[in-house]
Amino acid sequence: MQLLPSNGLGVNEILADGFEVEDRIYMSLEGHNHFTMAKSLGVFLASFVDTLARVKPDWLLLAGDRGEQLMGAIAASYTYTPVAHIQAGELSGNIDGLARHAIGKFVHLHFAANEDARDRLLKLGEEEFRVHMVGAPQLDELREGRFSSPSDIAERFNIDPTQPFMLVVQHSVTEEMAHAQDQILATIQATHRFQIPKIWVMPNNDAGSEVVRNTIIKERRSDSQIFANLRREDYLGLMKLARCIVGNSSSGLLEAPSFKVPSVNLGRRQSMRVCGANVINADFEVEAIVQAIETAMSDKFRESLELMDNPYGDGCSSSRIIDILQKNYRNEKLLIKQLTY
Amino acid sequence: MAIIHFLPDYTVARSGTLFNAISIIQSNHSRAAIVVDHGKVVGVVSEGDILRALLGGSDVHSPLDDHMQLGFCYLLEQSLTDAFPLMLLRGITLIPVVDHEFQLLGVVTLSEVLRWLQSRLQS
Repeated sequence: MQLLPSNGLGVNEILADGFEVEDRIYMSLEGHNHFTMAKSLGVFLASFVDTLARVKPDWLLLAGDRGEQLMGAIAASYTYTPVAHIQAGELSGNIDGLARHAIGKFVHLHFAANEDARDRLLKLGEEEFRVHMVGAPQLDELREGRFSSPSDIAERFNIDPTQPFMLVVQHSVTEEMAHAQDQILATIQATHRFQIPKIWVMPNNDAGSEVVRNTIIKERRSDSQIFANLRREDYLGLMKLARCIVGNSSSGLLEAPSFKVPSVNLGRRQSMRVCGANVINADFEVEAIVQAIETAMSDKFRESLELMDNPYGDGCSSSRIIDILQKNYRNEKLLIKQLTY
Repeated sequence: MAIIHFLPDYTVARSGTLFNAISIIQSNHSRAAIVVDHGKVVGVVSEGDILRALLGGSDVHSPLDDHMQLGFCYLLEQSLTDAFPLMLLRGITLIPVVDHEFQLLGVVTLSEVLRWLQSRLQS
């Protein structure tokens, strides 16, 4: 996905951060349905094994819960390449939730964001020495203030940061692909009721994404700006200033609490994930979404978030993760997994 | 005083290819084209976007949809005064003018903004 122009060429952001890109694997088949999604993962797995054979990494570090990470876990496990997983053990909706648990079975070290996730990994039969509670590393850059300033946001997005605006990010839900159009229409119609600017970020390339993307473009009005992909610091800068975030992106649960920004979380994509006080859940139904946005934008609700903590950690995860990876390198026990249950 | 442009000189259909966009751009001298779908503005494609696409391995017959910019500047009225700071800050050469439903009403080009500035300087 990071190599697709239609998804905003995320690889450039990785390069701009000073990383070397060792391999560029083209894997996305046309179609954006369940079959192309599964087959694309197969393409990725076949290619990635060759990458591992060539690069022979000390560690493979996976973050998240998508099919690509699952393929990485399988490739590493079968080749006895040390592999660790960030944000392990959480519950999430969609097929991603299944992928996250499956990744857990293959990896050698688990980095859990909170106690809930750590306990789940232990219950799932993982050995205690493999499970480390470190928080979610996405929060590190928030704590360090690595996001665009209000003046940068104003200049780049042509919006007045002192006035309310809404950030909207909606992905298709793979299990409910047939309803993707109705779901995005409900969100669009609900957001139209609010006379404030909207910044839309386009969905990832999961099954059903094409119809979501096309509907957003087709239904856009002059108070909406649309972006295929935003630089992470801009996305965070926008989120910090937004009156609320609407949709089903995990960032509404993960990053938004650090900024104390209300999040209207729609449908089941994030269902069962640990939520902070900033999250208001609603189904894909216009009136329910409108009501949730009204609550989210109210002064009373915003004030209620002033003292909230982020349930995904304190923003000091990266140094903990590096420390654990260094200590466990070439640990004899590491590559031979025993399931305790 | 804004010029009334002949809009087909500046637009390319969303179903088109990079080749279609290049044809429009080479005749409109504005270094960009506006991508439309049934009169609705859906994106902008600039010479830079096309060069990036070609450098990235796409050919001129690639679908425009994959290479147009969804995030672009637009105006709600044909105002050269409003267009000038956008062009100055972002180095853009063509701005669509849209109505509330994002139907294309007109365009503002860099050359007309420069001519407008020149007339102001002279007076």
